[in-house]
Amino acid sequence: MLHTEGPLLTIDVGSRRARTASIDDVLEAFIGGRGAATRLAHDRIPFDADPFGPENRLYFTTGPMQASSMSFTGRTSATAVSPLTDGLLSSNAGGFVSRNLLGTGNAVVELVGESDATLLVHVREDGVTFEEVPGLVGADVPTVTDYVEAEHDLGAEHVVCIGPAGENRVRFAALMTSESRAFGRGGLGAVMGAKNVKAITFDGDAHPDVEVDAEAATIHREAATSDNIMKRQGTASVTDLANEIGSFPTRYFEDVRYEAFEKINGDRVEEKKYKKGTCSQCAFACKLPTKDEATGVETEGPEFETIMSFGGNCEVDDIVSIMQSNELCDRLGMDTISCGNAVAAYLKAEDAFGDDELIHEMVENIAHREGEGDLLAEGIHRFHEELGVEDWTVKGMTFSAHDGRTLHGQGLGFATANRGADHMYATFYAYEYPLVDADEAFEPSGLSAAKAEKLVELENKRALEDCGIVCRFSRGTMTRERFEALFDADFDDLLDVGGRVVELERHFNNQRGFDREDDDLPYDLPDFETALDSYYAARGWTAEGVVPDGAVGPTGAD
Amino acid sequence: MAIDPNFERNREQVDEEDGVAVWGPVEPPEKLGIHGTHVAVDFDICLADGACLEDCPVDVFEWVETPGHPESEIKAHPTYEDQCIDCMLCVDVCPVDAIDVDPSRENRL
Repeated sequence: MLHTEGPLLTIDVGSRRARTASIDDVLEAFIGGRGAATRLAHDRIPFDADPFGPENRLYFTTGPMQASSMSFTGRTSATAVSPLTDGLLSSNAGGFVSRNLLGTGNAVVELVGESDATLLVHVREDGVTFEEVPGLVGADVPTVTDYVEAEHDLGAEHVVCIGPAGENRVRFAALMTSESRAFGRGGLGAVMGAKNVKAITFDGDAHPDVEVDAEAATIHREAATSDNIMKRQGTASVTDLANEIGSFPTRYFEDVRYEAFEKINGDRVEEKKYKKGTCSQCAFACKLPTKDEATGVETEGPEFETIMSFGGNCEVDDIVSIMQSNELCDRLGMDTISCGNAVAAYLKAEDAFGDDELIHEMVENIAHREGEGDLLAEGIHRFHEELGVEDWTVKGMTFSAHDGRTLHGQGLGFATANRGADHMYATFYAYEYPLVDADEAFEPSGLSAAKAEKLVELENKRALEDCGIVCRFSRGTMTRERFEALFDADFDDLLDVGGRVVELERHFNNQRGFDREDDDLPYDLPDFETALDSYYAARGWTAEGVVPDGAVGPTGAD
Repeated sequence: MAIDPNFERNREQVDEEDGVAVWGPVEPPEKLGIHGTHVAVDFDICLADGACLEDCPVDVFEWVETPGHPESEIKAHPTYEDQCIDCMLCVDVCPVDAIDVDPSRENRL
C-alpha cells in the first residue's frame, strides 16, 4: 500500500524545542493525511484535553499523492480537538502549501504546548526556529502573509496563519493558507491561537521519494480537458439545483428555497470571476477569483456554502455583499459557513434579515469579540438560548447546505458525522441530487438499511481520500480501479483504512462522553432511529453509538 | 513546422521579456524567436488562435502585440510560466504545434 514517507516532527512551542520520531508503523497502516494524524492524535492527546489547553495537539499532514504532480492533490490536512464540537476533528485546505510542507521532509508536523509570547514557527528541512512577533498581535491574514514575504522571502504558499479571530478564540476560527484558503469548520484556528502561534511556515527541498503510478498522468489530463461546469463556476454551480430540490437553507433555516436565488447563483459569481484559480498542481482549477469593479471588492468566491450562509440564510440577494462577507471572513480568519449562520441567527433574533451593513459589522465584531460579537463567537449551539433562536447544529457544528430535511440520506450523514453537521464528511448529497451516475443514485426521500450501509461506505471513502490526500472534486474521476492503481492495494482494504479512521475518531469522542444522543438532528426524519440502528450495526458499534472495548488497538495492530 | 523541443541546445538566449527568456534568432518585426523556457512558444509559428489562453487552467499566457509579423500581429506570451502545472493542455490544443512544455528543461541549461 502506498503511503507517505518521513518522520513525525513534534514542536513544543512552550519549551521551544523540536524533535523527530519515526512513525513508519502509523504511515503503513494509515497511508498519511487525516488517517496518520487521527491515529497519532488518538494516542497522544489526553481524552480529557481542553481544546484550548497546552495538552491539545495540532497536526499538519500531507499524503503520498502530494509527492505526485497529479491534479486534485493540492491539499493539506489538519487535525486537533475542536473547540467548537469538543471532539476530534480534521479539516483540509487547498492552496499551495502542501508541497512546501512535504519539502520539509516530514510526514506529520505536530504543535503542542503553549507559548508565553506570540510566535511564528518556521519549519525547514534543516530544523525549526521560533520568532517572537509582538508586532503581529491582532494582525489580519494579509498582514501576516506580507510580513513573512518581506522578512523571510517566503510567499503565501509557505504560510499557515490565523487572523484576529484565531487569537480571540472564536470557536469557528479558521487556519488560513495562501491567504484565502481555509482549514474551515471546526475552529482549528482558535487551537493555534490558544498556543499563541500566529503562523507556521514550511520550506525546503527534502521531498520524500514516493513513486506514483502512471495512471496519475491520465487523471491529470482528464482534469485539464474536462468540461465540468465547476471549472467555470466552482461549487457555486450547484446553487440552482439545490434551490430547485429544496435543500438551500434560507432565513436561518426557516425555508429550504430562496426566491431570489438567481441574483446570487453560479452565473452571478461567474460574472464577477476575472481569472482562473487553482490549487497546486491542479488542472481542474475550480477556484473563483472575483472582483467587483464598481465597489472595488475583491475576493476568492463565494463558494456555494457561503452563498447559502451569507446569502439565503441572511436573506441577502446581492452577490457583491456576499463577496464582501467572504472577503472579511478570509481576512479575519473565520469559517464562512459557521460565521454566516451565526450572523443569520442574530438577524433572526433582531428581525433584521437582509441588513448588509449590520451583517458586515457583526462579522468584524465576532472576529474581535466586540459587543454581541463576543456571544456569537461562541457558535450557535452555545448562544442560541440567550438569543432565543433554534439550535441548528449537530455536535455543536452548524449545518452546511444540502438540507437534510429534503435529502434524507444527507440528513442521516449530518447526524452520524464525528465532526458535526458538515456535508464533506460523507457527501451523501451527491447521491441524492444526484450528482453521480443514475445507477449509483438514491431517491432523496426516505431512509433505509441500504442508505445506512451506503453512508458507512461513503464516510470510509471520504476518510480514505483524506488519508491520500485527494480532493472531493475528483468525484467521477477517481474510480475504484484508479484508487487501486495509485495506492497499490485492494479497494476493500483501502476502504477499511478509512473505516478505521472514522472508528478512531468515534472512539476518542466516546471517551469524551459522545454517544447516540449526539448523533441527533434538530428535525424529524422518517425511520431515522431504525436507520441509525442499521448504521451502528454496519459499523460494529453498540446501539448507543459507542465503539466496543478492544476494537481500537494499539498503533499498527488494529 | 512545429516548435523545436531541443531549442535550448540549438538556439542562443538573446533577451528576456517580463522575466521570460527569448531564444534567437530575433530580427523584428518578421522574426521573433521562441519565448519561454519551461513553457515555450515559438512566436514565428504562433498564429494567435487563442486556444492556449482559453484553456490554460492557471492562466500562464497573455497576449502581446507583434505588429508586422507575417503570421499574426498578436502572440500568446508565457508571462506566467512559473505557474505552469504541466498539464500539457496548451500543447494539445495549439493548432500549429507552436508550444512545448518541459519542466526539466531549465535543469538542462
